[in-house]
Amino acid sequence: MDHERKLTVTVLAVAVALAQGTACDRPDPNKLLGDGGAGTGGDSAGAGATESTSEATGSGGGAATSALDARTLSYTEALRSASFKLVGDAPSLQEMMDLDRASDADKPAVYEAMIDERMQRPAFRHRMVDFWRGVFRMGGPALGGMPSLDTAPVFAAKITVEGRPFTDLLTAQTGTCPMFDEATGAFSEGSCDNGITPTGILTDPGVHALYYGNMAFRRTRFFHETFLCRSATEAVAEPRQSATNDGPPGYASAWAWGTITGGPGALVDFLAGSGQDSVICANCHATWNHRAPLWANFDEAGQYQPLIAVHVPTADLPFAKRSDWLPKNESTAWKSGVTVADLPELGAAMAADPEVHACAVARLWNYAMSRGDLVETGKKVSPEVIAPFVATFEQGDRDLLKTLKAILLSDDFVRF
Amino acid sequence: MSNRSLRRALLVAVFLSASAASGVLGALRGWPRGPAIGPDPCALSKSPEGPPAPGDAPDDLEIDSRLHGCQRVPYTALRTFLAARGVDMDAAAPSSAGGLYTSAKVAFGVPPQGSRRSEPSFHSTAEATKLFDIFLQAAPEIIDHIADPVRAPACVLDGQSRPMFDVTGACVPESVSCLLGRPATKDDLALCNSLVDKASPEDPGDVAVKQRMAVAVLLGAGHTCE
Repeated sequence: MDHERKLTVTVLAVAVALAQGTACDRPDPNKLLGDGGAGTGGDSAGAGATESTSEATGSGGGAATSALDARTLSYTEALRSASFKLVGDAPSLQEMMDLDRASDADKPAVYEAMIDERMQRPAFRHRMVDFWRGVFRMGGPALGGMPSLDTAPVFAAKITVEGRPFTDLLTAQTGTCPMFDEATGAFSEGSCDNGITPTGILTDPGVHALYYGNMAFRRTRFFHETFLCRSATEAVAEPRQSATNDGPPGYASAWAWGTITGGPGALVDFLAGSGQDSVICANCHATWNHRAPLWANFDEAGQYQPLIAVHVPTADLPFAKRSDWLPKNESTAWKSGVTVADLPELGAAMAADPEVHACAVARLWNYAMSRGDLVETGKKVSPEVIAPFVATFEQGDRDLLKTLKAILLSDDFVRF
Repeated sequence: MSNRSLRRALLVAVFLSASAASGVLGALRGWPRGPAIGPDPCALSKSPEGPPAPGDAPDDLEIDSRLHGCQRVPYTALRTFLAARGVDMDAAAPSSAGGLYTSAKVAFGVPPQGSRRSEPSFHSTAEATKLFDIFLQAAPEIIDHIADPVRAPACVLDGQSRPMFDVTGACVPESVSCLLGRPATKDDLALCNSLVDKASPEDPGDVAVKQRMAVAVLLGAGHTCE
């Protein structure tokens, strides 16, 4: 008991010491105790030195004084953070000390070389597969007659690691079901075999099996959240930009009122009633009903069928008809004003959409900065912050690998 | 001292500091203390000009976007990290670090196949508790093996491995660095040594407990968020 009491006193003392860091004297990021007075170099414990911070400035510009200005430059801290993201481990003692021993002038180059080296390791391929498994919220081998849930995330990881255009994820017509050897960290080519010419992951059997549901709305949600970074729980799936409103009060979709199925004869009346009750549905379904029919022919196992293979959630669960989503003569579409007739056209439209590009870059930004998944956490990213990366991404070859590296080398990433 | 007591003491230390500092790492390493919602009041209070005029300052979203969040070590990465620092992650004993790790998938939120979920980006309370358990059980293995270049290859510097504690019982800077993932500072060592120094020198059992505590606290401080 005496031992325990003494130990508790000890740890309480530690806790108090740690809590002293709450004052406005922000401690150096390379220090465990915030007692102020952090010097450069001389503060090191023989195993390394903290980097110079006195000349560090935030990224806010102007005379703004903010949390940004209070950050300090630390390449060793950046290497630690980047290492976990890229290879799933902290840097070795040798690596961190090699970086720490470099002169201030050499540190950026040494750091960049270490980032490059990590991107060549098999462990990087593992991390990217795991990253995309998280983004797609899927993963795992083929089981019980159902397709592999790994082909889509592995394809995305392969595109990322190989520096191929991100838009291949939406348009590629071959090799869209590659495999990944967990033991060696190697990709191997693979083609999907689910009865349709591939269009990126838009035709992936695992995606369609996992996200199978009534009227293909679960698939619609997957693609909406994955490629637009917008939660399906937002009030309006595609907000109207103009002030005009041809619908009832509260209707805010970009789509004209009445462009989706409704009325007394409809199995599901997406325009039912009037006023607020009806627009709660239509604000999102105006968009989703224009997309869902495009992947309605995939069955529960992700196989493409000649006829629609999803059901309408009414009493006898009939197979859906196109008119259950859209009125006659209304085209399927990616967004309002972007009509598409089939999945290849959909993939091309998505690949050309600046919002899809910005979403991809924002995902990488949040991953690198330990901010969590955009949709899961709702952590939005300032468009101004990622604008330079989006511009490079769009002007170049839409290379996620280069974009990730640029983020890891950015001024914001190396400041803590 | 039972494992339960050790764990409770460690949790008390970390969570008290967390509540006081709005984040363990925030206090320990100068990271943002909780979500950065607006301009830093500390920075504003020190500005000789006072708060910036509207339009001069980055907006809240920009500030928030440019700041690092708190890094969570993914489940698979935890295995890699500890294994390279002397911990037998394949150990089957339920109370071993490896055994605790193997049984921690649910606590870590590793999604079952077909759940349409992803491993979370942030710690849950259950995960943080399990993580501290693992660190506590990993500590004696690290102390025993960190000087072995085969069992702890991540902790080799210039061809030489070092123990966790030197002949005087003090924490070895290079080994502390290896556990933190970045070069240790004097203050890191002060924290480590302050725990070890609390031991009664004539009581080897107490010394071992304090050393184990020191390693676990370093790991907890270095790799967790509240």
